[in-house]
Parts: sequence; C-alpha cells; structure tokens
Amino acid sequence: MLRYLAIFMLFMMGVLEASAQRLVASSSDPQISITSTFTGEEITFFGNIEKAFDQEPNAITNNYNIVIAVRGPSSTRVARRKTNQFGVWLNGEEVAFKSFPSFFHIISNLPLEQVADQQGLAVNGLAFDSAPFLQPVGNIANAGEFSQELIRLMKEQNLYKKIEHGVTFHSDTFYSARIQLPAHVPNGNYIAITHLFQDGKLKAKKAQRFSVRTVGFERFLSSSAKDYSFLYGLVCVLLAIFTGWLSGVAFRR
Amino acid sequence: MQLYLPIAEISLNIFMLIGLGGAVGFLSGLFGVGGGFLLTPMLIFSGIPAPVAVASVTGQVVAASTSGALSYWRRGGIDFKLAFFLILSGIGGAFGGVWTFGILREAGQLDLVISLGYLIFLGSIGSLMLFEAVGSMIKHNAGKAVPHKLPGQHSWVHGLPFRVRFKRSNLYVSVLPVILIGASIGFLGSLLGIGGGFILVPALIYILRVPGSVVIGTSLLQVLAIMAATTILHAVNSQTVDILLAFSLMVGSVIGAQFGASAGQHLRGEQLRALLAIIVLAVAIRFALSLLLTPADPFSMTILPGGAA
Repeated sequence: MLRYLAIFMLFMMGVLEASAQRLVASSSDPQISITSTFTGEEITFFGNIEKAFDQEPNAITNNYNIVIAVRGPSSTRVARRKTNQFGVWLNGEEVAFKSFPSFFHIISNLPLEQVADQQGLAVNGLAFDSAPFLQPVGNIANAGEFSQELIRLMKEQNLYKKIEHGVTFHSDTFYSARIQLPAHVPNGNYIAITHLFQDGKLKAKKAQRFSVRTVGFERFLSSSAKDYSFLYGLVCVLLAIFTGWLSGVAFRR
Repeated sequence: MQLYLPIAEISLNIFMLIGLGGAVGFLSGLFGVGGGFLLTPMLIFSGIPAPVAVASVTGQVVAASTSGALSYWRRGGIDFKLAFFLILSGIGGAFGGVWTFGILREAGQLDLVISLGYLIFLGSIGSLMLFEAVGSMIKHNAGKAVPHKLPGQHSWVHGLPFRVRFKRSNLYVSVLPVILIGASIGFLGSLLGIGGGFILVPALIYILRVPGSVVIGTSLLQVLAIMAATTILHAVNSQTVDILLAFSLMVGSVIGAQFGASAGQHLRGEQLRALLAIIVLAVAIRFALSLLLTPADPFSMTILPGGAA
C-alpha cells in the first residue's frame, strides 16, 4: 500500500512539474475499422511541442524526447506452466493477472534508458512490468517469473513491442510515429499516452483514445453471436444442413 | 485472399480454409467419419483459439454429415429406428459432456483431458482396427475365405434384456448396448470436439453387428443430429461458433466429401479400415508426443472470460 502511495506521490510530482511545455498531439485514425479483408493497419501519431504561456523566453527548447505508450483493453490473463508429472507434461502451476493490457506498444525516439531512468519510466507506466499492469491474483510466490513469461508470450505475438527510434522529429518540436496493428489486434478501446521528456524529466503528457471495432457484416455477426446466441447457433446449423443438401443435389448423378 | 473471422478475431487465407475443409471432407466421405478429429487440431495449429476451433468444427461436421447422410439415404443405407435410439441417448450424453467440459476448463486441465482422450480413444481404436484389417487382408491375399461373423450370430451382448427389433439392420438386440453406445459418443463428442464417427462405426460393427450396408449411413445421421445439437449448445454457452470459419470449412468439405464417397466405392472394406486406422493412429501418436516430449515452450496463456474492461 505504501509503495503505491509513494508511486502516486511521484506521479503527482511529475504532473505538477509538467506545466512548462504544452503538447499538441493527434493521430491518423480515431477508429480502426475491421472489415472482412482486414490484415492489420498502420496508425500514425503526430504532434507538436508548444511553448507554455508562462514560459521564459530563453528557456531551453531542445533535448526533447517523446515516448508514446499505446495500450489496448485489459482483461484477466492467466499464465500456465507445464510440468512433468508421472512422465506426462501437464499444466501444473498458474498465475492470473488482473487488468492485464491485451496490447501494449512503447514507441520512443531514443532507447528508453537514454530518455529517463528506470524509476522515471516505471512511474509513468512506460515499462511492460510496471505495477498498474501486473496485479497477480492468488498465487503471488511465482508472480515475478510468470509475469516475465507472459510478457515474452505477448511479445512473440507482436502484441507487446518496444520500438526505439520509432518516433521521428521533423523539426525541433514536430514529431510523428507510426505503429503497425497486427491482424489479430484485440477489439476494444485503446489509449495512447504521449509523454514529453526533457533531460530525463517528464514535462508534459497527453492522452488520446481510439477504438478498434469490427464494422458492417462482421460487426453484425459478432454482435448477433452475443445477443441472439440461440438464433445464431440455429442459423449456423441450418446453413450447414443447407450447404450439405445443396452439394448433395449438385453432385447427384 | 485473406478473410477476417469475426469471432476468432484473426485473418486467415480463405483458400487455405477451403482446402483444409476439402481434404478433411474427402476423408469424411471416404470413411463415413465427420473428420473433426483431424480438423480441430489443424485449426488450433493455424492459430485459431481452441474453443473457437472446437465449436466451429461442430458446424462443419453437420454440413459434411448432411451430404454424406443424404447420399446413403437415397441408397436406403440408413436404419432410422436404430438412429433414433442412438440420437436420443446421444443428446443426453452431449449434455453430460458439455457439463464436464465446463468443470475441466475451470480447473485448467481441459487441454490435458483432450490430449489424453484423443490419445486413448484414437490409439486403442486405431490399433484394433489396424490389426483386424491387416489380419483379414493377409487372409484375403492367402486365398482363404474370410470367416465373417455375420449379423445374426450371437455374442454375449445379444443376450441382454429389453430386446428391440431393428428391421433394416436385420437385428433383434437389447436397447441397453444401443443406448450406452449413443450416450458415450454424445459425451465424448462434445467433450473432445469431434463427431465421434470413427468410434461409432467400429462400435456398431463389432458390438452390435450392424451390417455394412447401413452402418455408415446410420452413423452419419447420428453424428449430424448430435453435432447440430452441440453447435447450438456451444453458440449459447460460450459464443465461440465462428460462422464464417465454419462456412469456409463447409464449402470445402461438402465438395471433398462427394469425391471421397465415390472413391470409397473402389476400395474394399478392409482396405478402407486399414487406411482409416493409420490416419487415426497418426493423430494419436501426435498427441502422445505432445504429452511425453519436453515442450518447446512450457508456458502458455489464456484470457479468463468476464474480465474484459
């Protein structure tokens, strides 16, 4: 509890400190539409670092670093380990994590360790294993090891990714960044938080939301599967019987 | 051409799906099995989440069984009275299977039970069929008359009470083994995500001595009915039936099934059984390896339902 309080205090200090510059940020797509031919999509984030109203005229306006954290909807995720029992490999241990983000990309213009120190990154949620995203339920003893393995599995599916040098500065203050959402990107509400660092300190941050949604026929199918599940199942069976019957008629000799 | 599957939430090549359905449909027409025991593992291997694969394959099995059952029905190859008893008990078994499925999923041991189930049933039935088929092929090649146990010849099963006459099958047997077989297939089918034809056909032949002319048609009708009920159960319970995935597989499989059915008429019974036995054993061995060999990655992950924010 004390630890979270300390993190919270640090976080508040970060916010208070961050009033020297303003950040204007936007993205290319407020909504990613998944259609039948969806094979992933690229989304672009861009913005400008503006002077704060009360900024001194001779304030340093370089050494800016931008880090963007893009997170998808959270869910409870379980990591399981197979162990050998009686010569058979079976799922032995498991650790569940509450509100684990289903998508997490961190994009920066420099390797993260050059942007801020570890604590500065963790406080701002710029590490996959920072506290808000790893809340083990029940079995806590192995939580550390299991969380690292879970993050590794997510990285292998391109759902977790660190992209160093992914943010490009086009001038001293104007930047842009692109990330690739894979074809199996989870549906839901996303949040992209852009952090402005200067000399290892957070100066400003700005959140944007976007959503990933199925649209059109696909949306109709996935919503009817949830809302009219019996009818959906019945239609599926009738479609199957019809397909089978049709082929029987077509191939009748 | 990529197709986005709305329930599985991934994109897959539509021609790959149709091709996969076609290959499995061919086998299903050839042997009178649904093919679920091949298709489900293949889909999981393609990256489709296991619950979606299991549930969508049940839909595909309905289509594959329909075209097969129809062509047997036209030839008079279905014993409707026997099928009625099998279906009634099978639906009871399916409810039991879905209930067990839920308990195992909560305990995190569903994968283990599915692997063990595949291994035990595919392994034992595959070996039995292979021995029997190879034995009769050797005798056939040696020129000896194959001593068939014809329908009407009695085993202990035929001594049980509550006997019912199945006219089309030329049988007068107790309903107890019929109900037991039907319920077991329903239970295993819904638990393992398979039609169960590969268990049902040998059970009908070796236990009840149903004649070869009606065994496949009757088994297809039972599989059709049970899988239709299971599809609806899955759709209502877990909402994991992907209709686009199921439809792509169906289109491939119904076409494949037609070719399979006509190819099957050029092969002798024991050759068919030996071929099916080899395929069944190959799948069993694959599951055995996954249980016995040190896994490349001992870690796996799943999302718990209801935790979405």
